Amino acid sequence: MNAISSVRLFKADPPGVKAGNAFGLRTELPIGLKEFSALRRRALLEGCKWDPQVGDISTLATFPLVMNAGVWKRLAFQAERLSAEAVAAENEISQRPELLGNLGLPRALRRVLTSREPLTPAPCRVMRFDFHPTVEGWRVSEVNSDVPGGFSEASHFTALMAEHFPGLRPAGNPAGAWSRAIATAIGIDGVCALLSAPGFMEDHQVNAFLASQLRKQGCHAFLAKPEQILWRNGTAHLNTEWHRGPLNGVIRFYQAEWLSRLPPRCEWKYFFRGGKTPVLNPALSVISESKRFPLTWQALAVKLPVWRELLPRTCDPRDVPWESDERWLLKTALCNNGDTVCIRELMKPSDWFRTRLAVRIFPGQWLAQGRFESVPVPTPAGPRHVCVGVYTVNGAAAGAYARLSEKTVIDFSATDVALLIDDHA
Amino acid sequence: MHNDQLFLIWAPDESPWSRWAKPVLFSHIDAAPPIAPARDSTVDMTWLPSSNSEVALVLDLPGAEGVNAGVAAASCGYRPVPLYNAVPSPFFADVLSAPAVGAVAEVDLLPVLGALKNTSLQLAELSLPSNAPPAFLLDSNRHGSGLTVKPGEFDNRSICFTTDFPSANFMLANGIRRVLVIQRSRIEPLSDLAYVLRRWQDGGIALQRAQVDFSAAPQPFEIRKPSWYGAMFQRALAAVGLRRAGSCGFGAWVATSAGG
Repeated sequence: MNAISSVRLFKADPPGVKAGNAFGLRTELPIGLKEFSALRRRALLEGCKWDPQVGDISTLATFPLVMNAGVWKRLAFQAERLSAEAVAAENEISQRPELLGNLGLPRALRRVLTSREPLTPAPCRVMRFDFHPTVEGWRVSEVNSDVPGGFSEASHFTALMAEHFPGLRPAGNPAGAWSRAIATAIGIDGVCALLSAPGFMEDHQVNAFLASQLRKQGCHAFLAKPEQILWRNGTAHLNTEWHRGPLNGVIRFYQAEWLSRLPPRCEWKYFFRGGKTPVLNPALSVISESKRFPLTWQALAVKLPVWRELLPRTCDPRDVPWESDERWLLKTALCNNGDTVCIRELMKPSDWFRTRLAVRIFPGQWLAQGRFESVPVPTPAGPRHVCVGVYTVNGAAAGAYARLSEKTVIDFSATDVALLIDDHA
Repeated sequence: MHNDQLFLIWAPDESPWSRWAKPVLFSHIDAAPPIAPARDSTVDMTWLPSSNSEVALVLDLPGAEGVNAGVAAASCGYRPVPLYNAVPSPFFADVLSAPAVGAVAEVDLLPVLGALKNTSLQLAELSLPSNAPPAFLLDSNRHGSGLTVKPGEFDNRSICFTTDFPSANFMLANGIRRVLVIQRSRIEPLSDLAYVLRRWQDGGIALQRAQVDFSAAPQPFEIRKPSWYGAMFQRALAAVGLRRAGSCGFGAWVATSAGG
C-alpha cells in the first residue's frame, strides 16, 4: 500500500497538520498479469474502451486508486454544490448578453444563445468536475460541462477492478445514473440518436458505450452525425438509411462550438433554442464549459462560494503578467482534454512563441489561471499526479473518473485508473 | 468462439505488439454474420524477408485482403497486429446482417470481420513465438470511396495516427530496424500513414515498400516532408483558434476530441 503525506485536505482544515494520507488517497498493489489481461479484454470488448494504448503508453492502470469514504463524501458534496452554483450562474448569464460576450464563444453560437426563442429542453444534465490534490488542499481545475467523457472508464472498468478488491467499492456508476435519467426523460421505449464527429474514434467509443447503456434501459439508440438530424417544426428526426423518423431525444457528444460551425442548412440552432426534442447537454452548458466563465462572476447576483473556494484565480490574460510570471498558465476558453493548457516551462520555445502570438492576437479567447502545485501520489508505477473527475447527473454526485499522469498536466495521454472507495479507513 | 477468445488469438498476452491491437471490430465480431472465405483469399507472402531480419511490416490493403495477407505473413513468422479502427455499424444487433450493414456504412467492414473470424484458428495453430516481429494490418479503404459521403450513410471513415503505432524508440528497442510497407496498386502511402512513416523515419527506422503481388522487389524509399507534414503546426493553430477546428471531424484539421 502506498499513501501520501501532505497538507490540508480542505481549505477549512487547519494548515500544517495531516502527516500521512492527508488526501485520503492511496493505491493498492497491481492485480496479477493474467487477471489484468482478462479484465482489460472485458473493458475493451464489453465496455467499448477502444483506445487502451496511446503511442507507447498503456492507458489503463493495473492497480486502483483508493479514497477514504469520508473524503469521497466531501468531494461528492462539493461537486453537487458546484453543479447547483453553475446552473444558477448559467441562467443568470443567459439573460445578460454583455456577459455572454465575454466567454470566448464563437459569434454564431453567441447569437443563438442571446436570441429570444425558448431554450430547447434537455433530458437531463451531466457535468464532471476535475479535482486535484494540491499543496493548498483539493482544488478544481475545470468543469466538463458540455460533453463530458470517461463514462466507460468510470463505470465499467472501475466495476471490473472492484471485483478484485473485496472491501472496496466504486464511487458510483455514472453511466448507469446517466442512462436511467435519459430513459426516464425520453421514455423506456424511446428512440434517440447519439451524435459524434466522423473519424474521432475516442468520441465514437463514448457514444457506443452510452448507446449500449441506453439499450439496457430499453431505449433504441442509434449512432449518427449532426448533419443527419432533420428538424421539422422543432422536432428532431433521424434521416438515415438505418432509421428514419422522429426522435425522443438527442445526445450530442459534439461540442457546442463545433455545432455552431456547421452550415446553416443543418439548422443547428435547434440543438440550442427553438427545438422541442430534448437535447443533452442543454444549450446553457456551454457557459460554464467556457474556461472564461469565472470572468463573469464579479458581475453576477448569484454567489458562487464553492467555485470561488476551489477554482484557482482566473483572469483575462490582458490583466496579469503571464509572460513574466511563471505562476500563471494559459488555456483557451474552450479547452478540451487539457490540450491547450500552456505552461512556459513545459513547452518548446517555438510552441511558447506561437502561444504568445495567439494570446496577443485573440486575448478574448484565452484566459490566465493561477497555477496550483499538484501533490503527486506514490503509486506502484512511481509518483503520479491525480485528477478525480466527479460526475453529477441532475445535480447529484454519480461517480468518478480518475486519471494519473507523470506530468502535472492531465491530458489525453494520462492513464485511466479505477477509483475505489474504502468505507473502513 | 466468442470475441474474447478471438481477440486473445489476435492479441496474445505474450507478444509485446499486442498492446496496439485495436479492439473495436472484435467488440462487434460476435454479431458478424458468417462470411465464406473468398475463393482467391490465399495470399502468397513467401517472398517476405525472413522474420529474423529486423523488419516490421505494414500491410495497408483493402478489406479482407489485409487480414488474409496478415495470416500469410504469420506463416512466415510475423505477428499480425490488427489496427482496424472503425465502427462497422450504427446500431448494435444480435446479428449484423450483411445486406443491412453493407448498405448503410460508407466503409464496409463485414468482410474484415468475417476474415478475422475465419482465419483465427489458422493463426492460432501457427503458435508464433513471442518475439515474432509485427505485421500491422490496416484497411486501405479506411478513407472511404470519395471525398463526400451520401447524406444517409453511416460515416465510419477512419484515419490512423502516430499514436496508433509504437514509437521508433520502442521498435528499435525491440529489434526492428526497417519497416516494409505493402500495398496494392499504390506507390505512395496514404497521407495518414505517410505521417506515421515519417515519424519512424525521423526516429532512425529505414523504410521500404512493395506491392502485395510482389511485382517488384522491395524498394527503399523516404517520406519527404510533404506540405501536410505541417499538420502538427496546423493542429496547434487550430487549438489556439487560428484555424477552424473539427467542424466536421473527418477531412478537417485534426482537432482534439469533443469530450473532456
